[in-house]
Amino acid sequence: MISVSHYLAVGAILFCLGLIGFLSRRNLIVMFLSAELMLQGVAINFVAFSRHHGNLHGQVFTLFVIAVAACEAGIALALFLVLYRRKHSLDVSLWQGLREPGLPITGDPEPLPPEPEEPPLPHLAPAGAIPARGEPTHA
Amino acid sequence: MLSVPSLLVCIPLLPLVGAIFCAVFGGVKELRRWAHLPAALCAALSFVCVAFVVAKLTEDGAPIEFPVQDSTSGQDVDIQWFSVGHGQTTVSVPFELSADAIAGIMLLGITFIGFWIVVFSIGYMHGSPGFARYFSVVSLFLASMTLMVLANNFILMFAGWEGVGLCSYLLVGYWHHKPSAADAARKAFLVTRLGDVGLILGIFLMWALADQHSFNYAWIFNHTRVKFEYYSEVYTAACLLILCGAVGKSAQIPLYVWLPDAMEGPTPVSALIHAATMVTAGVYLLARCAPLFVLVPGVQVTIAIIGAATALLAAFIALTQHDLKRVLAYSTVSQIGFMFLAVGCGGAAAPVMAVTAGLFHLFTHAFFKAVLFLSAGSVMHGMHDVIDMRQFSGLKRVMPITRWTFLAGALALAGVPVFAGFWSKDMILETVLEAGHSDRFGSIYMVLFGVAAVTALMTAFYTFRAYFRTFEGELKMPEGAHPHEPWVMSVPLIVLALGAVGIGFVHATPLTHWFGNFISKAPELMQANGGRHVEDHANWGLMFGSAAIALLGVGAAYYMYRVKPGAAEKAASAAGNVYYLSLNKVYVDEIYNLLFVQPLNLLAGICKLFEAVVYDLVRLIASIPRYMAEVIRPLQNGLVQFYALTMAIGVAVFVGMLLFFHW
Amino acid sequence: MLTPDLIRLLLPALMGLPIVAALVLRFTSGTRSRGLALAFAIVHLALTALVVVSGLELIQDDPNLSLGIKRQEKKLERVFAPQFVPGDPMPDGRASYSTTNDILPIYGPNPSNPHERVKIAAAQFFIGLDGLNVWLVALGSFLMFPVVLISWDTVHEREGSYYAWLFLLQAGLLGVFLSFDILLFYVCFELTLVPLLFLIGGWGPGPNRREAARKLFLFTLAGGLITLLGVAGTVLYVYERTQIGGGHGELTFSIPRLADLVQTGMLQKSEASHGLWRDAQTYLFLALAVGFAVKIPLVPLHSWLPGAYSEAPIGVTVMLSALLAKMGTFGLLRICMPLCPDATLAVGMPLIGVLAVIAIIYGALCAYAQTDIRRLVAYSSVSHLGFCVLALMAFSPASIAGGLLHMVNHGLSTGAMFLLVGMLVRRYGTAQIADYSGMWSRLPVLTFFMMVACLASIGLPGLNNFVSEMLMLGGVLDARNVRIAVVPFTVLAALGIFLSAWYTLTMVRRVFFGPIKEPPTAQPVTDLTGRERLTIVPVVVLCLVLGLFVQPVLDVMYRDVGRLAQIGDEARARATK
Repeated sequence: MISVSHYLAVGAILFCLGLIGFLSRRNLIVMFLSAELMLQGVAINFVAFSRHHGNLHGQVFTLFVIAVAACEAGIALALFLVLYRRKHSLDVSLWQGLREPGLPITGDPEPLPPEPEEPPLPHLAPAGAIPARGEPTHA
Repeated sequence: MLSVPSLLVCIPLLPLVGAIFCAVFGGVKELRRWAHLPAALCAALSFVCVAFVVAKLTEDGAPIEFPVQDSTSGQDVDIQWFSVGHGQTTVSVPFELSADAIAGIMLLGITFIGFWIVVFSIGYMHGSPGFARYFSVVSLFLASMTLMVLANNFILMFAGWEGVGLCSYLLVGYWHHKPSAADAARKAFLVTRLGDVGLILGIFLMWALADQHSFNYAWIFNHTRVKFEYYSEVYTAACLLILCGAVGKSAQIPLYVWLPDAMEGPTPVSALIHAATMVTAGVYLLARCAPLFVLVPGVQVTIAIIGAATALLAAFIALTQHDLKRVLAYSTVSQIGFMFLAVGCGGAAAPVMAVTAGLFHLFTHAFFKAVLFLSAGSVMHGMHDVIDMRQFSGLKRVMPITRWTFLAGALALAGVPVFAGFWSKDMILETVLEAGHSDRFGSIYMVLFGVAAVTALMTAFYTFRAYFRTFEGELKMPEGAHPHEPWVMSVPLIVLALGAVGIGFVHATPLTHWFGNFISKAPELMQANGGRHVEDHANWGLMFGSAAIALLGVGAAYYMYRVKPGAAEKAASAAGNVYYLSLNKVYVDEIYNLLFVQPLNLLAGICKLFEAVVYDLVRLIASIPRYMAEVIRPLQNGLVQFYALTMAIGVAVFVGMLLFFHW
Repeated sequence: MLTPDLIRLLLPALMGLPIVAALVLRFTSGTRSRGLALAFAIVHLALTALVVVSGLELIQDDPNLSLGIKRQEKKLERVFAPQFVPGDPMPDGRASYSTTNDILPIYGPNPSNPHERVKIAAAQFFIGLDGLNVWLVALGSFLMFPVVLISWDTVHEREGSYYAWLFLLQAGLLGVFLSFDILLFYVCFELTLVPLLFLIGGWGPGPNRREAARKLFLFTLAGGLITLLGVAGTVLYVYERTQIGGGHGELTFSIPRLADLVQTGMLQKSEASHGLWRDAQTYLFLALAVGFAVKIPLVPLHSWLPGAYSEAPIGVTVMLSALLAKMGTFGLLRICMPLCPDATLAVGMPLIGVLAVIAIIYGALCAYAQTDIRRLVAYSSVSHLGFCVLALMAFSPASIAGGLLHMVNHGLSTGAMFLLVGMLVRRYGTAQIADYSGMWSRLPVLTFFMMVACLASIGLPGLNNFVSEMLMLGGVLDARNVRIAVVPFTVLAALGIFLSAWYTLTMVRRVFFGPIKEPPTAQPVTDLTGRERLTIVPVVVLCLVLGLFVQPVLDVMYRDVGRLAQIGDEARARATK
């Protein structure tokens, strides 16, 4: 028999996974996904209790959570886009502007080696034009 | 129709109006050179009022009061200055004037001499910048001084008392751009102010003793008398505090140091304020308060000792001064010492006699000292503001009128018979002698008599030293001297010189007794006297002795400065350190500077330092939160994940506590 | 002359007009705002003069009131009797000495019917005039005129905001003086802080203005919060005490009502609760007094003062010294003394009195040691107000009247001194004493006025401070206080009179006497301009008038002073019982 505590355990596991992800990853999008994971853990709790109590309160809450999460995703991703435009990176540790004045920037003691420059993506010639031979394709 | 009581108001009011007019004249360019007119006119009118008042006083002797109490309606007609309180306890100062015999004598001297000095000033101050200011303040001075004398209660008297102090300050500092004058003005005001604080405390203590009801003289005299038995310490303290005020104003030990410096003012001011009138205010106060002092013989002796000591010390310093005005200044201090000595005899001798002697000397002194100062001023005017006796001599050829008037004053000051000073000084000596025969403190008074006799000798000597060095001998004048004697200066000189010669005859003991009879009509004196009989007899031995002392002093001066020209230097070198002690004014200024001024400055400095410490202390306290914040500031490192971690830990701790500790 | 009903109508305008002025001025700029500000100041002055002059008679002798009690009777029916209260429930010019203008009603269960909720108390818009505040209100309105004029050419940037803040400051100030509701009083008391902060921090001439403003703000705020504690404590304690013996408990914020309750509460209850009440009073008194002591300031709490006085723009300095310091002394008078009479006698004289004496001497010594004229006058203010506090604590008719009069007098004389110092500094740009000498020869008119102001400040007869000093001395030496051994206090206070002459005349000697030495200036310096004369003459003339014809002023304040003093007498009687 699957009791409510099983559901709760799943929820807790989801929550913890999300938490760990949020705390350990530096990519903004991954962190956001982790936060969503935590939300889903909570949502499972709600649903489980809703079932357990036999009423719809938890369901309603869950719907709300999902709706809010969707809005959040929209805003968050828009923000990330802006941030990315500024620094061309999604690393969260680049954004420490709110620290107390005078404190040093917290950085990696052993920073990752710089990623090798990726070759530029090939550009397709506009339709109807003949690509030149032996030249880089990008304009 | 002006009644006599309303004339009483006119006496201070007229000079006040004069002062305002002078100030207005000074503000208008065309009128500026006529600014002396209101002052002189109002002083003259004021004197006329005084003459009427004194005439009325001699007629029936009862004090004249203003405002007149309306006996028919039974209502108090009073003009309040300020008044607070109901029932018994009030702090109330009505504007009430009253003139009794003491006030009458004072007023005569003030307005008469005041008027002539204003006239003299017209010539003396001619062309000086601030001409109008000068006359305005002098007029204000006359107003304050007459108000002080006429006041019927202590606070109103104190108002006048402070008013004259202000005028003295402004006039000493008349040449405000001169640092020495500026310093002297400040010193004069502050030193007297120190005494005034004592006076005001004394007044309030007396008021507290007199059921806290009124500052009226009569009220206080009558009501403190009753309390004396129970509160003798407070009473004595109050008397000493009042004495403190008198000492400050009248330039007695220990507060005399301001008067010699006050000679920085224009010379007519020195004559009026610092010789004839204001500085004698202390004597007037003591005379006025005789009913208070008569109960405390200890305080009386203190007054006498202060007076005698001051007389001796000042005379000693005057012996060697080179500055003609300073000689006269120290002489003033010394003569006021005589007056204090006389007033201090009340109680041991009959109070009426003591006060009469003091006031008589005050009266004659006003005349002869005024003429001496004005003559000195005339010399200064002619000698291009040089007053050092080493720089001129033999002026009798170029300034004959001044010479004769100065001589008249000098003879009076020295106490040569028939001149004014002789009669009054003789009366003081007689009073002291009389006090010496009393049971309590008799021996002290005898010693004081000796001191007075020695001082009289010194007085005669230094006076004629000044006279011989200035007017006799061969003619010598400083650069730029322009001796002249305009009539506007000569007439006052002659009038006052006649006074110095003849005014003593108002109470030349074997011949006339007008002054004594007049003064003893004052009801407060009668009260103080308590019915003691005063016999006004001529003590021929004393008179001859005092004449001999005066002549001896004059003779010594004549010998040293006329007969044997080198004798003075020889005597100086023989005296050695004593001579330098006298020349350097016994180093009192330096000692005071060391004992009082510097410590006070130091104290102020310490306060300022302490202030800085407090300031830093406050900053220190204010910095505590900042340092505390410094500890936890690194937590705010701007790292999103760090915040999240803190949050997670916080939640974990919170949940852990709920789970494991069952909070 | 106005009828009482009309005055009642106009009284809120005294507070309202500055607020309106502030709002209007906020949206003006440049030189237009100063002209407008002057117009507002004059209108306000005219209004105040009209109200005060027509109200004087009723304040001095209210027929309704004198019917109730006789002076000679020992018992006092009513402590404060504010006249012309807007919203007085009694019609036709009669007075109930209360108001119905609620601001913040508080509802609670009806004592007779617990299920019904009724209004049990309200913070009210309760203002009025009585003998204690009428002259301070007049002063607060009068001084705005010279303050605006002195700011005329010393403030050159953001004039609109400057004058707006200035008028807001005045509104708060008049609110403190006018209010009879303890919450309104407190709100106005604290309200003055905000304009001050901006005025000093924004327009001060010196480099340290920000720090000075911050310090002033923090000091006064800290003190004010403790006072708030005291206010709340007083209201609640009176509420609790009125419940003793089966009463319903009366929660009220009206100062007259509180004072009456304190009086009756002290008289009727049993001995045991009596002692308790006295202890409570002591704490309440101390809490209340802290805020006022900071504002005055008394000596250990004064370290905001020199900075604020010397860093503020000169007009604000005049306001600070002449008026804002008076809020502290007035608070003692209006709140501390009537609400804690026993504590005023028990701890007021021994503690506050001693501090006041220390302030007199210490302030004077510090003033002497200053090298900056503005700081010198600032410290002299500490010294003079120490005298005022000492007199208030003596709690006798003459001393209260003297203290109250001294508040006005000190406002005028110190205000005049600061105005003149401001004029001097405007010419030369420095306030260092050492930079000046012989200004008498250069600026005779300024010197004349400065002399008058200085002489007034050192208490010369014929000028205003003399009268109040005499009254205070007499009041302190009053026989009622003999028990507390006031004689040494008086001696030290009197020594303060000497010291004040000492430092003032020393400053005069250094700056105005002597040979000419002046700081370098761009163009040659001229004596007072017509506008500056217009600024200073009224103040100096008032100094003279209040020195000579002061009795009407005293008569107006005397009825309420007498009532207050009678509280003191009753408290003394209780203490000796």
